[in-house]
Amino acid sequence: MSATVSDPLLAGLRAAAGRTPAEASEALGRLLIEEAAPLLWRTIRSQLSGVPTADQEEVHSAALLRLTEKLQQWSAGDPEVEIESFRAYVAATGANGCRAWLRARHPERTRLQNQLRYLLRHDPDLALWEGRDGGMLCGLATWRERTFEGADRPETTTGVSATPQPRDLALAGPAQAIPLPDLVRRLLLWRGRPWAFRDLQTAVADLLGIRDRPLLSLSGDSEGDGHGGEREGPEAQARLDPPETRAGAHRELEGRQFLTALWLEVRELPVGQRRALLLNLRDDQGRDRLALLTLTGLATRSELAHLLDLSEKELATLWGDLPLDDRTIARRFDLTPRQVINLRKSARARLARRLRTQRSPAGG
Amino acid sequence: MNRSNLRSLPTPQTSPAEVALVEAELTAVFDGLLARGERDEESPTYELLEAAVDGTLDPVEAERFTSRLAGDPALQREFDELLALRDQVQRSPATDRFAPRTRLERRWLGFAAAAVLLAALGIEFRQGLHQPDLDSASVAGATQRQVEPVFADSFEGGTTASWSN
Repeated sequence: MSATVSDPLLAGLRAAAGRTPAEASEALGRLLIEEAAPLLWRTIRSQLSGVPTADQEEVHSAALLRLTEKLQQWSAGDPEVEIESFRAYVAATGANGCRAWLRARHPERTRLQNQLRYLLRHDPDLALWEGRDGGMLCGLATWRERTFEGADRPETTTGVSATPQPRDLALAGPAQAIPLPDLVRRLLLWRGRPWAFRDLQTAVADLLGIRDRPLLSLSGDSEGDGHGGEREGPEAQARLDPPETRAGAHRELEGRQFLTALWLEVRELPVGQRRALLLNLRDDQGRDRLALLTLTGLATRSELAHLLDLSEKELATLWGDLPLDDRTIARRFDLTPRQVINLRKSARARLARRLRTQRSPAGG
Repeated sequence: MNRSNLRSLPTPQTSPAEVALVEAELTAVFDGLLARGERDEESPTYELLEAAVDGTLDPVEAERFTSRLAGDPALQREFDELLALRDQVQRSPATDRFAPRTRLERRWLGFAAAAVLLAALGIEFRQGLHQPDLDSASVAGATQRQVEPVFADSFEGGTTASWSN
């Protein structure tokens, strides 16, 4: 638990947590309702504008749930949860929820957006910058310092067609056959002036025929794009579900089968993640649970030593001190405690992803 | 992975009932661990992808990212596409290939280029283009070249179709 909390909102929560559970719960509820919920709405509405309200509400609920849990962990002094600024943390949580939703619902457009962003930021002839109204503009690097009348205005008010046809760009063949850097240059030259980044995305997507297939809307609305795309399968729908509703999906595997599958995945983790996870493996009461593995026959101590890249003698000296705290693990392996925490978080996330995709033999 | 390497039998000194109890305990521990893994999962930001593509992640971050790629085929695909784009950008033609021009200016340049070509071949003009106009067009083109881009390959393609569009 950090010694000082400079954010007054967090300080209030920490102070309430130090009194009674009822006061802690009330302080948390008030913070969530009065501060977090409105801020999350602002983030979600700005990043998911145009998305059905019911879907926005779903993202909002999931983010609020996640925030609640994180704040509870933080209040309890969980070193894995670091929060310095309450409002920044809420905004980041909301943005992460939106990002996850977009990646699940519009994977192709999201990939294209990232590619365009990378191109505009790395090609010395091109540029991406913030316009006077705060929107992102893009164009040739030489345009950045020049004044263009109405460059910040959206396409609908400038009277210029948002998307050119292939013949406007002197394309000899399909746009898909043109390397993206060339296609973007042609588009920018056709445009002849700075362009709103979102409009460039639309133009490139139209030329490349990128239309993400409509997934089942969380709202139940048919959010068709008018192109008759097929619906994604259950795997894609699972990606749409907020993590809170996915937890437990790995439990399609039962008992010994689950442990065996999980242990196979643990063995595949990078050594740093294995150390952060296994040397700290504990139950709710903080009792070591690594030793239990040897009782099930899933692994011997010799094998554990090998997986942790330790000699058997080194592991034997640690055995009585398990589970190790993050500082001890960090010191032993020349890391920072934060790095140990991050490695463990990565290990958990990877295991969850890997186990999620597995099915019981009966299920195919 | 060779699954046959995995021991699946309890050690001889532990009774089946004890093993079942231990397995139930471990299952509960790992259940909680995976549930937390699900909830903690963060959607990768553009900044993370960019740093990974540019190789600017620190070793621990890089290991985390590599580990994540191993369990996320969609992210792996996105990463591969960005790597390919990075290579394209690094191989992209020099800036001067793209001398700036608008559509109107390209049309003028088309006339100018055609005129220069014909003049070089010794063909006498009877209509349309005159040398003084050519000169002024060329000067204007040369001035504008510094500020607006044009596709060099429009000339190489041997067509002016795009210029009149």
